[in-house]
Parts: sequence; C-alpha cells; structure tokens
Amino acid sequence: MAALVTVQGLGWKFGQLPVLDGVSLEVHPGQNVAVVGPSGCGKTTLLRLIAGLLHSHGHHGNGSFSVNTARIAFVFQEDRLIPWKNVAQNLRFVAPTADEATLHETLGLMDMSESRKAYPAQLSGGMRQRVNVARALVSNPELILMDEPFQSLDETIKANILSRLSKLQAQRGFSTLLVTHSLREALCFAHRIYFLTPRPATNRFVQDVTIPPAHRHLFDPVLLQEEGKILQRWFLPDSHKE
Amino acid sequence: MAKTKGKNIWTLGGIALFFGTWWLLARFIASPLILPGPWQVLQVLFEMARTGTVFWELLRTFSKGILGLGIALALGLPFGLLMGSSPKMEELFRPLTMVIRSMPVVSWLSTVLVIWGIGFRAPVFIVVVSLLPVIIFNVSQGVATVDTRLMEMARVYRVSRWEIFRQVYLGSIFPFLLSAVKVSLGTMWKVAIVAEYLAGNTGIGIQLSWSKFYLDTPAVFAYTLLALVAGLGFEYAFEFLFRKWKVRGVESWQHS
Repeated sequence: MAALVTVQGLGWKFGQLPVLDGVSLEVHPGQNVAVVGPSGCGKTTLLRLIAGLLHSHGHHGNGSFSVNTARIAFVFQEDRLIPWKNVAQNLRFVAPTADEATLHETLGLMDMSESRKAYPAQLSGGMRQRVNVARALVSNPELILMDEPFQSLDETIKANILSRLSKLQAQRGFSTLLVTHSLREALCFAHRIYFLTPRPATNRFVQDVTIPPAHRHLFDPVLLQEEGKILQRWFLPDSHKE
Repeated sequence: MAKTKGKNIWTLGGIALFFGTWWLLARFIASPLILPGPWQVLQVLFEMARTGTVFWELLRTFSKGILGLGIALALGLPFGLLMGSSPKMEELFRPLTMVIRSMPVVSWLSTVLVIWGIGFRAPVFIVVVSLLPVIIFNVSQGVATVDTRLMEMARVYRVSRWEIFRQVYLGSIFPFLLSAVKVSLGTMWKVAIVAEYLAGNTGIGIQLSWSKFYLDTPAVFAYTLLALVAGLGFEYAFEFLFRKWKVRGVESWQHS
C-alpha cells in the first residue's frame, strides 16, 4: 500500500539558517510513527511542512516530500481552541456536519462530554489538551499530526490520553505522526521511531518498536526496560559503557 | 458586598459634592440668569417632566443619535475589517479616516447646511462622521489582533473562508466593537445635541438654543442635566448588559 507521507532527503532553511538536512521518513496507512529528537532540532518544522503550513518562498532546500491524503488533523503543542466558543462549538468548527451523537461520542472518548458547554478558559490545561485531541478525532482524519501535544501535561494525564489514543487508533485505523523529545512517549505509542540529530536535523537511526500492546503504558516495566536499552545503545557515551 | 457598599457611599458622596459645589457657587454669584441653583433647575426639570414634552424632545435627540450610530456601525465595520486585514488597504483608507476624525464639526456643519439645510439629516450626518473613525479604528485594531495560530489551525482543518471570517474574525473583533459602541453611546448624545443646536429643528439641542435665546438659564441647565443623565444612563445600561454577557462566560476569551 502506498505511503501516506513520504519524505525523501529533505533539507530546509530559514534564510541562511539550515534547519533540516536530508531527513527521510515514511508513514503508511494504519501506522503510528514517531520522530524523536532534541528540543529545537527542527521536528516542528518537519511537521509544519507536511501539514502545508510552510511555503517554499525560496527557503526550500533539496529533497522532496509528498502527502497522499487531504484528511489531515493536527494536534498542536498549545491547544489552539477558539476562546469564545465552547467545547462543542470548537469541535463543530472543524466538523460542521458532525451530528450531536458524534460530538458526544468523541468527547466521551476523551472523558469530556460533561464539559461540552464549557469555555476553554474554564478548563484545566489537561482538559484543554483532551479537547485538542477530540477535535482532531471528530474531523475523521486519515492522518493525525501531533506536535509534542503532551509536553505540558503531568505523567498521569499523559499516560491516560496516550493509551486512549492507542486504542482508538487500533479501532479506527488512522495513521499518526508524533514528534516528541520523549523516547518513552514514542515507545508507548509508535510502531516505528525515527531519531533525528540536533539542528540541522538529519536521520540518526530508525527503530521498529515491538513492545506488545498490553505493555504500552508510560509506567510499564517492559516499556521502561526497552527505553533503557535504546538509551544505553545509542545515547550512552562510550566511556560509560562496560 | 462590603466593598460594593463602600464604593456606593463614595459615589453618592461624589454626587453630593457636585451638587454642593454648584449650590455654593450659585449662592456666591447670586444671579439665576448666570448660574441658577440646583433646586431651581430641578424644579424646572420636574415641571418639564410633568407636562411630558421633554420626553418627546429626548426621544427625537435619541433617534438621531441612534440612527447615526447605526449608520456609523454599518459603514465602520466593513471598512475596519478591510483596513485591519490588509496593510495596503490600511494605507489607502487611513488618510481619509484621519481627515474625517480631525475635521472640526463646524466645518462639516457648514457643508451639510448648504446641502440639506436645517432639519433631521444634518445632525444624523454629524453623528455619523463623529463616530465613524472611532469604530473604524477599533475594528481594524481588533482584526490586527486575530490570533494567527487560530488561522493556522483553521487552515489545517480546511475550514471555509466564510466560517473563518464568521467564527474567528468576528469573534476577535467583538470585544473591540463592544468597547467602540460603549464609547460611542456617550459621545452620541453630546454630538447629537451640538448638531441639533446648530443645525436642527427638534430635540434637546434646539430646546437649549431657544432657552438661551429667551435668556431662560434655568431651562438651559435643566436640559443640560437631562442630557447628562440620559447619556450616563445609556452608558451604565450598556455596561450592565456587558457585565451580563460576561457572567455568561463570554468574557473568557479576553483572559485566556
């Protein structure tokens, strides 16, 4: 099956400043892909390019990328909810044809159906982020792009949202591309992880994740052990290895 | 509760200070032709209210003011949107708006008196040109504050341009528009009365003019007091409604 997203040796500059330098990745239908790299390495730029939020304007470097779907949703780092619209109206903004039952069901998936009439300012950060995810889901996407959406959340809420999202992905079969600096988040969610170098970002290595679904939880010992192995193998300086 | 009560006492104190100073000055000047005392003015005002004619004059002034405000809003909203959404449009319309804002009222009056003469239209026109720049600049400022992150979100989700305009743009300018309307409601009375005084044939303004002509100073003060109370009353009524909206949670965007 053709890949939904194909990025081939992509380079990108802001003016004279190189941000990406030969990044390659693929996202196939029904696949969860994570891009892990240090803060500021260009992960968000990569995601914004794929979402069509950056235009060439002479900044474009070499390489290419293609996106083979128009049904894209984006879970932003900040919630980006319309402040003067309540939760239900925020969802309806991206899915005007969605009926009441669909809205109710989608909010229910994120435990937010009780707050459908609440305004964003009346919600906590965690609740707003759940609405951010619900908004992506209600638009019935084929591909969800996620830009470190759980960065500001505490571990319990993060684990809760990630496990709900994993279950939904298995049921509905959409694809996701998650960029994060947290290896544990990536291991919890992704089938394949692309590791990037610091800026200008380039592929460092690719890791397929084989952790069974039952152990894909932020605090699961199997997942923590896998995280340790990867960190030791790729990130521990030679002087510290036995 | 105690805080509100304390605030109310100070407000009442302020009103008492105003009337007290007025009374003292009137006693000092001791000429009702120059400065009638508050009691004398209130008596004239009660008499006017008893006969009921003053309410018609008030309504006539109000109708001119509110029509002028309506026209200013109808014109100011699209122009403000246009100026706020494009720097080129802002450059194009800014000189014209500045001219409208800076032109003295009497210059406008001289022109409209030649065209329409004394009557209903000239005061309405003066209200329009006085309020239009305030509304245009407020709306344009509101458009400039539209959150680009919301626009990006709408683009990713392929939301139609009409819905972006309706739900993001109009929502963003709403607080600015409310503040423009609040300021305009106060200004509207003042401008309408001045315009009636100089180019009208009905309303509080023309009553003021006639009272001055007949050297009926207590009536001049009574009409002035009435205009003052009406203007402040409208501002407070709007403020009250605005607070009700806030209670319903609409204010949330201003603090998020």
